[in-house]
Amino acid sequence: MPSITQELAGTHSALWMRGAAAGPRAPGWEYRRRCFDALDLILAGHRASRANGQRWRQPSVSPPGLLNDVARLAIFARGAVYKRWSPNYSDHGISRWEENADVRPREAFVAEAKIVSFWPYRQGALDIADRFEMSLTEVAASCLRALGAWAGDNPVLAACVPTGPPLCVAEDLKVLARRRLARGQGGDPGINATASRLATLASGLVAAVLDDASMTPLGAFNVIRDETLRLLRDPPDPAAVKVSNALSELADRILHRDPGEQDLTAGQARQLMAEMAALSALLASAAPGRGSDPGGEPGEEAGQ
Amino acid sequence: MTASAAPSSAAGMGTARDRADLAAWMRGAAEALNVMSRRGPADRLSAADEAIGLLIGCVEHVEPAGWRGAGLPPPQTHRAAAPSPGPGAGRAQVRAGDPAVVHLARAATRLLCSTRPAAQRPQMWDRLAGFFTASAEPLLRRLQATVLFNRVEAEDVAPEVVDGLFSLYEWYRDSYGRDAYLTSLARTNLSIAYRRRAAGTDLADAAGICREELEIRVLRYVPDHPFTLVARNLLARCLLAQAEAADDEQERRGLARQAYSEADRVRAARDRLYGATSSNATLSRRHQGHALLLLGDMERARACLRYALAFERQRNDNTEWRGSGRTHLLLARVCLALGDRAAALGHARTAWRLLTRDAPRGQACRDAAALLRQLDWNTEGNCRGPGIR
Repeated sequence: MPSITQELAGTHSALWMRGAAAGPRAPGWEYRRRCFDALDLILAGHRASRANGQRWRQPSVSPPGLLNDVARLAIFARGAVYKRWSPNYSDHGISRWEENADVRPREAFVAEAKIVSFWPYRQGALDIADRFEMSLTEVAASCLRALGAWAGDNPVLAACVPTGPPLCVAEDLKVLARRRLARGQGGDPGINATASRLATLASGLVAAVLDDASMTPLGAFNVIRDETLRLLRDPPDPAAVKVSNALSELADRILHRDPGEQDLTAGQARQLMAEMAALSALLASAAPGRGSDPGGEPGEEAGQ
Repeated sequence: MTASAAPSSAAGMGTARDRADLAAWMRGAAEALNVMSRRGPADRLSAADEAIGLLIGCVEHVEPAGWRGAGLPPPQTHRAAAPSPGPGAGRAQVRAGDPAVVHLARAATRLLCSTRPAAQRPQMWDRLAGFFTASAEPLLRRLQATVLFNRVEAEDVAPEVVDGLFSLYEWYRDSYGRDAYLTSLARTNLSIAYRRRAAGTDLADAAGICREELEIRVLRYVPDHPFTLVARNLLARCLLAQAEAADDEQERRGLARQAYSEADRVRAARDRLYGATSSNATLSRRHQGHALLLLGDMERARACLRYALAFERQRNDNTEWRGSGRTHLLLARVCLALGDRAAALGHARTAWRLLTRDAPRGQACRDAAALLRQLDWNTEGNCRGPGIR
C-alpha cells in the first residue's frame, strides 16, 4: 500500500503542479509567475489596516477588472491572459480542473495563484511527514497547520474571492478521508461526505486566521481540531470502547460517590486490579512505544 | 525528503522567488515539526535535530557555531546536513532574519525544551531571542513573551518578569485588539505570573483576569473549545491558590468547592475531546484531587490523585514523569491527613526529588521540603545519591 504522502503526490493538483513547473523551461510557467507577481502587487493595496483597539481582520477582497490589471502590470496582452485561464486551455497536457470545467478565467486565475502560493507550504509539511512516517491524523494536523501558516502569511490572497483555502486542500483531504474509510465503511458516499466536511473545516480554519491578524496556525487548527481528528481517527474497536466506557464509569463512581455511599467491596476491587494488571501486560505487547505525551496542554500556546 | 517534488524547481537558482519559496517550504516544515511535539522524547529530539539541520542547510551566512550560540546544537541523531528541500535544488538560501527562519528555530527550541527541566528552558529561549534581536517586531515580541513565560514556569517572578509580561499584554491589546488571540494568551500569561508571585492582591487579580478571559473566550469561541477550557482550567488553579492562602475555613471551602466545580467541568470536556488518559484531562483530575484535599474529603482526594498519577506514568511509557512532582506532593499531604505516615513520606520524597530537578526555586519545591521536615526527614542528609542533586 502506498504511503500517505505517496498518495498525496498523486492528486490532480500535484500532477498539474509537476507538469506545470517541471523545469525552468516548462511552457508557460514563467508567464504564470509574472501574472501571479502582478496579482501580489494588486492585492498588496487591499491589506486591511489595523484598527486601534479593535480586532484586526482581513475582509474578503474582489478587485474589479482583476485580469485586465494583471495583464497591464505583467505587460501581457489582455486577450492572451484571458485565453490562458479559459476553461479549455492546457499548455502541458494536464487539464487544470478535475471538475467544474466551466470555471471562469478570473476564478481559474485566482485558484491557480492560491495553489502555487500554497504549494511550498504543503510540500514542507509533507516532506517532514514523510521523514517521520506520520500517522493519518498527524499528516492532517501538519497540512492544516501549514494551511494556517499560508493564510497568515498571505491574508489578502486567502481573502480573495472566492475566499478560502486553495482547491488542492480539498483534494488532499479527500485522499485522507479515503484512507480513513479504506476498509469499506460507507463506500464512496461516506468518503465524499467526510471529505466535504473536512473541506468545510479547512475553510473554517482559514476564516479564523482572516478574522484575527494575531491568530497562529496552532490556534486556528484548534478551532477545528476536535472534529477533524474525530473524522480521521481509526474507528474504535467495539470491545475497546466498551472496556474504556466501563473504566470511565467505574472511576467516576469511585471519585464522585456521595458520602457514605458504597461502591466496590475490597474483594471486588482486588479482583479487578488483578484482571487489569493482566490486561495491561497484554496491551503493552500490542502497543509498542510510539511515544509518550510531553504533558503539555494542547490548545495552550503558553508564552507565545 | 523529496526535493524533486518542490514546486518551483522551474525557477532559477537563488533568485528572490527561490528564496521566497524556500521560506514558505520552511514555514510548512516548521508546522509539521511542531506536530512532532506530541510524540515521545526520542522522536522529539530527532525532530529538533531535523529542524536544526534545515537551519544549517537553508540559512545564509550562519555557520553551525552560530546556531550553537543560539542554543541549537548540531544534530546528534541525524546526519548533520539537512536534505535540500526547496526550490532551486537547494542552492537558494534565506536570510537569517526571515520570519520562516524564526519559526523553524522556535520549533527546534520548543522540541528541545520539551525534553529539559523547566529550570533550563528560560536560558535556552533567551539565547534564541538574543540571536534574533534584529527580527521584525511581532516575532521579536513573541520571543520575548516566550522567554518571560518560561521564566515564570521556572518559578522566576522577579519584578522585571511580571512588568515585562504586562507591557507585552498592553502591546498586543493595542496592536491586535482586546479579544485577539495573542492578546488572550498575553493576558493569561500575566495571570499565571500573578498567581505564581502570590503577593498582596496578586491571587485575586489573577482570578479576576481569568474570569475576564473566560468570558471573552466563551463569547469568541464556544464553552468547550480547547482554548476556552484552558482559561477555565487556569481559573480553577487560581481558585485553588486562593483557597490554599485563605485563613478562614469557610472561605477556603467555598473557594475549593468552586475550584472543584470548574476543574470537573474542564475534566469532563477534556475526557470527551482528548480521552480520559490525555495529559489535559489528567491535569484536571489533579486539580480535582487538590480541591478535594482542601475540602477535607481525603479518601476521594487520594483516589483521584492516584488515578492522575497512574495516567501520568502511563503516558510516559510507564516510567516516572518529571512533571508528577506536584501530584506526589498532593498525595503526600493526603496520606499524612489520613494517618498513613509511611506513604506520605514516600510521596514527599519523590515529590522533592522530581521538583528539585524540574524547578528547584519554585514554591512547590519549598513546600515539599517543608513537608519532609514535618515528617522528620532530613533533605540534606538523605537525599543525596545517584541521579539526585
